[in-house]
Amino acid sequence: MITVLFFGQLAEASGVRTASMNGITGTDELKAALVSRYPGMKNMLFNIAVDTEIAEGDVPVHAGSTVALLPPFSGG
Amino acid sequence: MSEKKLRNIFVQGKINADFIATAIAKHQSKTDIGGHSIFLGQVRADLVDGAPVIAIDYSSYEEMALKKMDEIRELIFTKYSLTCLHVYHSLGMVHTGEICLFVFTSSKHRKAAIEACSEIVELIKSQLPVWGREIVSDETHQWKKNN
Repeated sequence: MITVLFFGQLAEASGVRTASMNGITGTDELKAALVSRYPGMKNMLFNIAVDTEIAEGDVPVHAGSTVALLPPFSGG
Repeated sequence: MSEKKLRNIFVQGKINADFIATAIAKHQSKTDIGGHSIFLGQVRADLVDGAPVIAIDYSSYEEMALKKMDEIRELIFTKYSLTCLHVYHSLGMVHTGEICLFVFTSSKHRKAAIEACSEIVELIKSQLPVWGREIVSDETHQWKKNN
């Protein structure tokens, strides 16, 4: 099981700030599963961080990982 | 390996002018400093479909932001000869006219402080997982876009 964190407009689009997911082994698989579960997220742009590290391309995800969905940053 | 305690940069709500003045005063005893550079980010009353922004509500993936800020700090200290570097970023509601970002660099000679301050601001805006939700006077909101 992994923990997924939703930030910014993604939390709005999905209606949740956090979710648990099972059977996910990679970030591409996760993206597909997310759009399926939360259709409001379709066509939204975001980066993924696995355990606080930005994922470049399809990155493996292990049980117990925290995966954060990061819309474009707008701090400062 | 012991866990390094990450420096907290986040402040709840606006950054007060007093806080900034106190930060400056605290450096008076550091007599090897010849120059400070300060950047203050202020919430601007942008117009959204004719209605003004009245506040920005900031949120962050804090764990990752503190880790990333630590990396930025290391990079900057390696690149520039600085005496000090302080960064404070607001979380939560900051109204127009209020300060939401305070970057403060100090060095023996001014060039390092000025250049480092500028680079830190750009790195914060591009790399820190922080988001601003612009609250508009007509009770709508939109998500801020950085450029």
